[in-house]
Amino acid sequence: MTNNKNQENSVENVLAKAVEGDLEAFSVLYKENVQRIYTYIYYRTGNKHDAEDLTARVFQRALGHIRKYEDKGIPFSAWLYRIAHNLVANWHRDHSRKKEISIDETPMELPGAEMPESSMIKNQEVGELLTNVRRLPADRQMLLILKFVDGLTNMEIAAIMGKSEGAIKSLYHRTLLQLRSRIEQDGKEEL
Amino acid sequence: MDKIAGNSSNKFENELKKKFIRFQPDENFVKKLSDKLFEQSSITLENSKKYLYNFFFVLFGLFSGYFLIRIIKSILKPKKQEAKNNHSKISQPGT
Repeated sequence: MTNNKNQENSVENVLAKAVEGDLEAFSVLYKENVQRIYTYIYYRTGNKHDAEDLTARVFQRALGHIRKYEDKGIPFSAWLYRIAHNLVANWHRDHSRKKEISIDETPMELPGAEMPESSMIKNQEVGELLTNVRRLPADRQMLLILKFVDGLTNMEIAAIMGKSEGAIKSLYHRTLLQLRSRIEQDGKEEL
Repeated sequence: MDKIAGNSSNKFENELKKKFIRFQPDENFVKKLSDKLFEQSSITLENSKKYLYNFFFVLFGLFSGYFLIRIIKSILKPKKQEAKNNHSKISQPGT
C-alpha cells in the first residue's frame, strides 16, 4: 500500500519535473512508454520501418509540447497514445492507396513472454490477426490493443479514448463480434 | 443458448489474449532515438541561454549608451546656454 503510494508520488514527481523542462525526468517517461507506443503503432501500421519513424515523431512532439501538458489524473501514456493516434491517422491518410500492408517482417517477442510451440505458426497467427485487426475502424483497433496488449481496464481505456466506461464496454463487445466474424470469414475463404 | 454464446465468446477472448503480443523495438533504435531527443534538446537549451546572454549584453550596451549621451548633453547644455546669454548681452548695447 505504502509502496504503491510512493510509486504514484514518484511518477507524479517525475511528470511534474518533466513538465518544467527537466530532460532527465522526460527520459524516464520515454523509457517507460517507448515500448507500448511502438507496439501500438506497429499494430496500426504493420511494418517496422514506419513504426520506428512514427514512434520517433510521437516522442519528438511530446517533448516539444511537454510544457503545455496538464495533469488531469489520466495516465501520461494516454497523452502519448493520443499523439500516436493522430500521427497514425495522418499516416493512413497519406498511405490510403496502399490497402494491404506486408507482414512478412518477423516481430520480436518480449523476453519472458509465452514461447510458442512453433514460432513460425505463432508468427503466421499473429500476422493473420494483425491483418484482421487493421481492417477494423481506428477506434476499435485502439481499443483492442489497449485491452489485450496493455491489459488496461475499461475505465482506463475510457479515459484514454475520451469516452464513458459504458460506451467502451459496448464498443468492446461489438468489436469482438466484428473481429470474430472476419476471422471466420477468412477461414471459410481459405477452405 | 446465451450461456453457449457466452462461453464461446470467452474462448475467443482467451485466444486473443494469447495472440496479442507486445513488440520489442530494436534496442539500437531506442538508444538512437533517446540520444537524438535528449542531445538535441540540451543543445537547444544551451543555445537559448547563450542567446539570452547576448540579448542582455546588447540591452545593457544600449542603455549605457543612452545614459552616456544624456550625461554628455547635460554637461554641454549649461555651457551652450551661457554662450547664448553672453551673445544676447553683446547684441543689445542700449540696455
